[in-house]
Amino acid sequence: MNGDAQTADRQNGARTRFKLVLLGESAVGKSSLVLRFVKDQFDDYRESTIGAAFLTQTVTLEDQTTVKFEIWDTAGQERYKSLAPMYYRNANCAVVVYDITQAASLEKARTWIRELQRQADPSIVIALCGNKLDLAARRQVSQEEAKKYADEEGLMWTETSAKTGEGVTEIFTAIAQKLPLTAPSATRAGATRAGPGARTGVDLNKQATGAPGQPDACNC
Amino acid sequence: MDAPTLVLVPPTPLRFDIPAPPEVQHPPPLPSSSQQRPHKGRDSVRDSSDAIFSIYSMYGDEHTSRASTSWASPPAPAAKHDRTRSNGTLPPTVTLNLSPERPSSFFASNGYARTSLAYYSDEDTPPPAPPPGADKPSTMVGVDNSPRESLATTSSARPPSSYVTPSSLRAPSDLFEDHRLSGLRTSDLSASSYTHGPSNSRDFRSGSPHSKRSSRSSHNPHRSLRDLPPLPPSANPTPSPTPPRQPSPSPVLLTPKTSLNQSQRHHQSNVSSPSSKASLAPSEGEDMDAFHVRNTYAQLEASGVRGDGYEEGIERTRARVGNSRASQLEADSAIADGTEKKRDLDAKELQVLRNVDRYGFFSVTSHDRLVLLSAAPLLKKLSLAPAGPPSASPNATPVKFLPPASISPKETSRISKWNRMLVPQKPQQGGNVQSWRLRPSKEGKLRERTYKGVPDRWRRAAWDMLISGRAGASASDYESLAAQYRDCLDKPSTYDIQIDLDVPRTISGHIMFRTRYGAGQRSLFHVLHSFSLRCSSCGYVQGMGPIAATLLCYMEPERVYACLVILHDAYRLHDVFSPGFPGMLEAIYVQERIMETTMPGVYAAFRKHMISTTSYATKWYITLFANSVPFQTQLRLWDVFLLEGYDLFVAVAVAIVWVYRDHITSASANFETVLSLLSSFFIPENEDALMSWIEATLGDKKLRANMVKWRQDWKGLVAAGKDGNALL
Repeated sequence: MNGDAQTADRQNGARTRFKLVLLGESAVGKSSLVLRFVKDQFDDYRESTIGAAFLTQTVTLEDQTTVKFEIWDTAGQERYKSLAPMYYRNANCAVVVYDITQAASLEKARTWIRELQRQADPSIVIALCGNKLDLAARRQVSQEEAKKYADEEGLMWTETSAKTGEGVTEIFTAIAQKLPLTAPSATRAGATRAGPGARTGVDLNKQATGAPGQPDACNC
Repeated sequence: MDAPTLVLVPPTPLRFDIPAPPEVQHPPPLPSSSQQRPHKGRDSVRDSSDAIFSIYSMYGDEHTSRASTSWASPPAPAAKHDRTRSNGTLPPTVTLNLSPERPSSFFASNGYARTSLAYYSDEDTPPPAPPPGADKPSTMVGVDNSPRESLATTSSARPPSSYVTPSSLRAPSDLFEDHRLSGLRTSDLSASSYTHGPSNSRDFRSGSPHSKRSSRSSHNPHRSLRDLPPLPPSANPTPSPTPPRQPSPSPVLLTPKTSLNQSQRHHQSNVSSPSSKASLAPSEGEDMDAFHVRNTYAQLEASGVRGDGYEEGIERTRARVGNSRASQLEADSAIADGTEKKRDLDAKELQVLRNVDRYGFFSVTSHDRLVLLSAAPLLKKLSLAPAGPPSASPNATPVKFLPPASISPKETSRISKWNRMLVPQKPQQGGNVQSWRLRPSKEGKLRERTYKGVPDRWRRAAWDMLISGRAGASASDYESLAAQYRDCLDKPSTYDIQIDLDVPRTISGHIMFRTRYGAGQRSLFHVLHSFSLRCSSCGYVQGMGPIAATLLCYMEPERVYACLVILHDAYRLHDVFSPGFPGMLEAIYVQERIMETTMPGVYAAFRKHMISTTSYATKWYITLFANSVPFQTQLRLWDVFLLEGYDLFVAVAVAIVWVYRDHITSASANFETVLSLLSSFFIPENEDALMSWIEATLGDKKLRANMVKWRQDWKGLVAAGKDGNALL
C-alpha cells in the first residue's frame, strides 16, 4: 500500500519503515500484543478486530537506527481471511500468533505460515509467537513443539504475554534487527538484541539466528 | 411493537397463570440491592444445581463437590423431579431461570431505582428506602401509551402495599423499561393480563402452549426473582422456589435522572431473556467444545451468576479452563446462591451504579485515538470542493477523553412530540400495546424528527416501528420469529465457540454485558447463536456482536433476534455479511464515486498515498459504526439508518472524509497520517451538525439517484468480473 513511501524513507537512511502484519486465529491476542507494544496497555476483553486495525510504533535499535513499524492488526475470524492478502501483500514482516493454551491455534498458525510462504513477498520475515504465557499453567502447546516447528521452517519464535508484557518488546525489536536495513549492516551485526524499551527475559537471539531460511536481501 | 412504555405486560405474568398468591413470606423490605432472592428460589436453585451437576458430570469428576458447594440451600426434592419432567417437554430451563438472581437482582435494583424514581420523582431526593409497595404499580397496566405520562401516573398510583405479588414487582422493572412504567404493572394487572393473554408477550406467544409457557416462565422467573420478594412457590410453573429475594436495591443510589432509569430499564429488559433451557444434550456430531459452550450458557441461564452487573465473573469457556479443583471451586462460587442476598448494596455495586451513564455504560473502553470531528466543515453542504490549502495540518484535533453522555435540552419537548406522533397499534390481549404506528397526520414529521434524534425513551418503540414498517412485519411474524429463536437454542451451531470468544469482549463497558455469563452476555450469546443458524451463507460474522448488543440495550432477546432477521432481509445486511462482504464493497464503491465527484483532491490523495477504502472503512460498514463513534452518536445514526436504510452509512463515511478533507489533502499528509486519522474514534463536536449534514446529503435527490446508479454500475462490474480493480 505504501511502497513508495517506504522506498523513499529507506533511501534517506536512518529512519526506516516496515510494514508488519499480525495474523492468527481469533482471540489469541493479536490486538493485545499490538496494544502492549504500542501503548504499553492491556485490556482483558479487547473488542474483536473487524477488518484490520492500523497502528504505528517506532523502535530504536542500539546503533540508533530507528525503525518504524506500520502495523496491520488483522481480524482472526476465518470469514475475514479473504481480506488478509491486502494486508500481507508487500509486508516486510509478519507475526503469526498462537495461544499456548489452545493447541488448535498452532494449527491455524501453521496454515497462515504456509500461506505466507506461498503468497507473500519471498523475503518476508516471519515470527511465530506463542502468546498468553501468563497462562502457562494451562499450556497445551509445548515450547519444544513450537520451537521445533519454527526451526524447521526457519522462523523466528518466542513466547509472550501481552498481559504482563513479557517478551513483547523483545519480539518486535528482534524483528527490527532481522530486517534488512539501509543502515550499514556492519553496525547492526554487532548489535545486541535489546532495544531501548526491551525488557529482560526472553532471549530472542537463538531464535533469530536460528532462522536460516530467511534471506537477508533487501526487499525494497 | 412493544410499546416502549407501560403497556406491556411483562412476560412474567405467564407464570401467573397460576394464580400466585401474593404471599409475602418474608417481609420484603426494601428492595434488596443486589440480589433478591425469590423464595421460590430454593426449588429453582435446586434445579439449577442439578443441571449443573449434570454438566459437570459430563465433563468430569467434580460435580459432586460442586453440587454440594454451590447449592447450600436445601432443596426440595420434589422440585427436581418437576424439573426433569419439564425438561422433557418444555424448556424447563426457562423456569429455572431464576438464575439471574444476581443479575436480576442487579437489574432489579435498577428497576427499583426506576421505580423509586417514578414514585419519588416529585422529590428530587431519593427516598431512603423504597416502600415495598413501590414495586407494584398495580394501577396502570397497559394503559398508557406515552411513556411520560405513564410515569407520572405511575408514581402517583402506586400503593405502597403492593409488594404482594411478585409479578407486579417484576414487571415494572423489566421489560417495560423505559418507559416508565415500570411500576405500572400491578400484580393484579398481571393476573388479569395473564388471563387474557399477555399483551406483551409478544415474543412468547409463538409456540405451543408449552413453549409459550416455558418461555414466559423463564422470563418471569427472572423478573420475579429480581423484583420480587417472595413468590409463592406455586407461582412458578416449574421449580421455582428459591430463597426469597428481597426487593431490590436502594433507590437511594440513583438519582432521579432519567438517564439512569432508562439505562437500567434497558438492562432489565434485556436481561430477561428467557430463552435458554437448562439442560441440553449434545447433538449428533456436535463438537464437544462447542457443546460445552452452549451447555454452559444454558446452565447459567438457570442458575445465574454471582455479582451480575458489578462483578467481572469467572471464565468458564473462553479459556477452556482446565480441570483443576481450584478453578472449579472458583467457578462454583461464582454461581448465585441464596446465601449472598443482602438487602443493601455493597460498596462495589454502589460504585458501579454511580458510574453508570444514561445508556448503561459504567466505564469507557479505551480507544486508541480519539479525534474531534469538527462541526465547522459540516456547515457547508456536500458539493464540489477544491482541495484545501497544502499548508493545512495533516492531523485532526486530538481529544483526551470520551465526553460523557449528554441529554439534549430539547429531549423533553421531543418526548411529547413523539407521544403525539406514535399511536399504539391495535391493542392486543390485555390491552397492552405491542407495537406502535405513526399517526397519519404526523407522517410528514417523521423524517425530520428522526434526524433530530429519537428521544431515548421512545427509541425502542420508534426502532420497532421503523423496522416493522420496512419489512411489513406483523405481530404474527414476530411470533414465529420468536419461536424460531427459541427452537434454535436447542440446535448446535458451528459458530458457538467463536461467538463465545466474542461475547465477553462486546461492549464490555456496559453494565449489562460486564459480568461474564451474566444475563446480558447470555442473551447476547443466545441471540447470536440463533441468528448464526438463520442464514447458512452468513452464519456468524464478527461484527454482528456489537449490533446485537446495541439492540439488546433496548429489546428482549426474542425481539432482537427478529430485528436482526429483518435487518438481514430488508436492510441488506445479508449482502454485507455474506462471504466476501459484497454489500460492503458495493457501499465502498458508491462512497468512492461520491468522493471522486465532490472531493477530487481527496480522491487523488487516496490514490497517491495508496490508501484503499477498505483499509479504514471496513469496520464502519460491518459494525454499523458501533465502535467508531460514541454510543449516543451511534444511536442517532441508527435512528436514521432504520429510516433510510444502508445508504446512511455511506453518507456517514462521506461525512467523515468531508470533515477531514483538508487534512487529507495537506502537503504534509502521508500514508500514515491519513490512515491513522481515518482509523480513529470520532467524537463529533456537534452531533446535530453532523446529522443535519447527513440529512441534507441524503435528501439530495440527485445524489440519491446517482447512488442508485452507482450501485447498478457496481453490480455490472461484479458480473463482468471487473470489480477487482474498480476500487481504490
